[in-house]
Amino acid sequence: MPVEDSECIKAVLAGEKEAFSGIVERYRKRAFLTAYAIVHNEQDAWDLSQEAFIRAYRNLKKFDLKRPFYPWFYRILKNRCLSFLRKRKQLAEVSIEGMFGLKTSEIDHDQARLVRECVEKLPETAREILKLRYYQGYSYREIADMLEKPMGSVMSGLFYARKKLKELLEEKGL
Amino acid sequence: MTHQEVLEKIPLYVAGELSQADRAEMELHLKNCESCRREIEEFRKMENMLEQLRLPDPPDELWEGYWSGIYNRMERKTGWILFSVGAIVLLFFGFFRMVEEMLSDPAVPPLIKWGTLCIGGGLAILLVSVLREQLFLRKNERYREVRR
Repeated sequence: MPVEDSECIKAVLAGEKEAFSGIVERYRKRAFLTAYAIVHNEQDAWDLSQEAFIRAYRNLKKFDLKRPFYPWFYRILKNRCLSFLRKRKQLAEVSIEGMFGLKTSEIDHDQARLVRECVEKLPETAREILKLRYYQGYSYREIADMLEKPMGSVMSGLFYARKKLKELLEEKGL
Repeated sequence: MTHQEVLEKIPLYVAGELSQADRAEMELHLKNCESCRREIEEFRKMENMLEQLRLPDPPDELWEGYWSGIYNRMERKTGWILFSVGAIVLLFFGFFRMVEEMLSDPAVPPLIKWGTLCIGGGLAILLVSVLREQLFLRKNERYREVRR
């Protein structure tokens, strides 16, 4: 864990609420994009990422300072997003049209839209690994750290995900 | 390195994330394995397709008010909890005193007394039921864990 994370957390635990802003600033982009990759809606991603930070803040006493902050926070965020989807029981369209006001032609097109639809049909673990890799561009090592899984199991998960995705893409004629 | 291990390590190989020793071992295998070379070609094709999925970086304006939003919500939640607890305590106290006075007042007809007691009893049962349900849900919620 970078020194700054543990220092911020210790300060928060000592009663300095404002020190939590250091953590928020460091991880807000990752948090927002992770939430967006799950719920496909800018406003919901904004709200859910904020809620996850609030939950993390409230549970900070349970956090093990010897461990890295982000994998722990990622779990809170993911659980919050999945819980939100379970309640809503439907997924927004998988296009990223309109994200940050960009036009479809600038960031997405038919092929990308079809691939996104296929990614959504993958089993949860496979989908999660693929999204972390291709939606957000994490390295395989970062993914393993984030999911707190051995590299081997991430790689075999990815192998399975790509195999399944290939079948789905072939069904769509890609 | 077995054939399956090679297949699983293709992404690391292509991304340049393999250790030197693994890379050398992989290249040795690739020299003699036509099928793995084809797999790498396929992998690169799919990689190009998947690269299009990258989410755009959020603009800086998105973060305006982000931290203050979190801070305000944290504060407000504490405020709401305190307010709700206080309101519940006062309501119960008021209701209890009202029922107490009504029951001891001989001028109030017995039917009204019984009706008020039923309302009080019903409210108590509803409250216990809701609390129990919430505690049960909290205990059994699939995603409640925030810590491994």
